[in-house]
Amino acid sequence: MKVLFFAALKEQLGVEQLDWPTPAATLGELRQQLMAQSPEWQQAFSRYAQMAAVDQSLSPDSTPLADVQEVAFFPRVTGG
Amino acid sequence: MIALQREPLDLNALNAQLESPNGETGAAVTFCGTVRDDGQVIALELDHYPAMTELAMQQLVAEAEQRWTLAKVLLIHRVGRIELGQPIVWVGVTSAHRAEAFAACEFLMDALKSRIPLWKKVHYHDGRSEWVEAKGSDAQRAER
Repeated sequence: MKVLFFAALKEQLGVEQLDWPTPAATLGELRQQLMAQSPEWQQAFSRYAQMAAVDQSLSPDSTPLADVQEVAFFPRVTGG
Repeated sequence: MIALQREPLDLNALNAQLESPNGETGAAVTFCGTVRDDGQVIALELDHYPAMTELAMQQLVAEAEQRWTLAKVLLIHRVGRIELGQPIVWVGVTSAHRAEAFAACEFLMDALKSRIPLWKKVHYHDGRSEWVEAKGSDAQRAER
């Protein structure tokens, strides 16, 4: 599964995208797996990953990830 | 129609698209958001999610068109670096009467600020830069 990061989260992690090999049942489970990688990931996610999209659609942590191609995490949006 | 563009907005050309020379529509409402000087601001930089941002803008326009009877809806947003005083976003709506156009224009701006993947970074005169934090008031407005 492709995982993307944007804005302050991308900058804090120093990572734009990665291929995540570990299966995750839900968006929330994937979030926990990513955060468990290191204290840096834990901190960056706590501060800058309030929103997420599953296959380009804004989604809550309860969203199932079966057959999903792309997940993105990012801070609250600030356009306009 | 929606557009996400790096080039400056041509407001005259956008306004011309809302004209109603044969009187088909009685109301046109536009909103233009500009880079404001909150103190020492030199420019903004807009990050976006290429595979999603335009798609989400199209969905937003479709939602407005379902909710109100509208003739034309134009939603244009800039990405990349935008200098102080330059327009960032422009919304134009036409309808038979003003109530629909006013309501749809306000809805589009409120929803854009809380649901479209766009992020502002502020660049200051002294070389510093920082990501803009989302305002709670914007989320509340979008709920309405």
